[in-house]
Amino acid sequence: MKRLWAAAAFAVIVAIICSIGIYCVNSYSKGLISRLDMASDAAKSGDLTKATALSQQAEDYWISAEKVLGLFVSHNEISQIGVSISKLPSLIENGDKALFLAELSSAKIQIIHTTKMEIPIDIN
Amino acid sequence: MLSTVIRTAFLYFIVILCMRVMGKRQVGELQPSELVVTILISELASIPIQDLSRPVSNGVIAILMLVILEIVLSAASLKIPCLRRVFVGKPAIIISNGKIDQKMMRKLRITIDDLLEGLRQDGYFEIENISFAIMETNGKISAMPLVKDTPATKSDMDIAAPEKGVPITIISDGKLQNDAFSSGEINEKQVMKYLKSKNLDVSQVFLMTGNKLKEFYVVKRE
Repeated sequence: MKRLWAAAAFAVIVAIICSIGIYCVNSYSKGLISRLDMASDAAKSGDLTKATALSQQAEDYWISAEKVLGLFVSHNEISQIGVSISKLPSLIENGDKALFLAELSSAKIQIIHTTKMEIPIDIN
Repeated sequence: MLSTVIRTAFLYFIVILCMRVMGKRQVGELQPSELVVTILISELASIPIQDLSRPVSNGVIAILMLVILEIVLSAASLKIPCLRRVFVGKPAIIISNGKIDQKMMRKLRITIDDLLEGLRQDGYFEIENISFAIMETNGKISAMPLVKDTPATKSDMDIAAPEKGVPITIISDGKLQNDAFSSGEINEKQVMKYLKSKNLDVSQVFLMTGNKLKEFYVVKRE
């Protein structure tokens, strides 16, 4: 009987860790994607200053997210997204809009892929 | 490097905790499901230790999940016999009334050498003396000799013998074991009296055991 209680306690721990993990991954990826979308829209409309500021914001946001996401997501995945995002401010500052949008799309796809990996859906 | 040290220590305690929660069984006595869980736990624990890019939580969650499944499955097997039959299997009779069931041996894929080895490990060197041999679910062979080959017991001989109970360790390495007197079968006064009769004190004793008939066994410290 004691073992069943221990198993129940473990189940609660697992449920809590998984829920926190899914919540964190979802909320951080949504936050980052919305920032990237705004940066993309600004770049497309020709407002490069705003796009630079927003991509810088996205970078800062990702740096703060890394600390939490590192508990649940493979560090390699986080690092790859970080590499893509860190290129954005300098690309748009130099006026390289096409490369900026390409790198932004790449970052977005990686974020979506990482988020999907954490959610129990049929492809997983 | 320090991360590896911390991860290793953390996972070591997690695995020890999990093995303790799963219960006491020796490796050779593991049921198939327990063997699978034990192998998987060791593999899962080693992944976050070796690969620092993997979060520790991934390994811990997987280990805890296996422990939960193992406990729930074993608890359910106690209540539902058919579940136990599926996950644990049932013992198979290999020798019945002194006759080897060759069909069963083929079914279990065990050779005559395996059978003889199993019998030897059980203390039987001559197969003709065996009445029944059963392959247990953990792969061990249990044997029962023919009645004519079993040693005579006190009850066979109608000899009355009092129950001695389990021998209790009273002194270990010169130190009195406090829990030795918890059963109430032996008390400290009796022990001290016995030691005095042997001209010994507690610190001079390497090992002292006793049973409820007040029979003591003493090994002096060298």
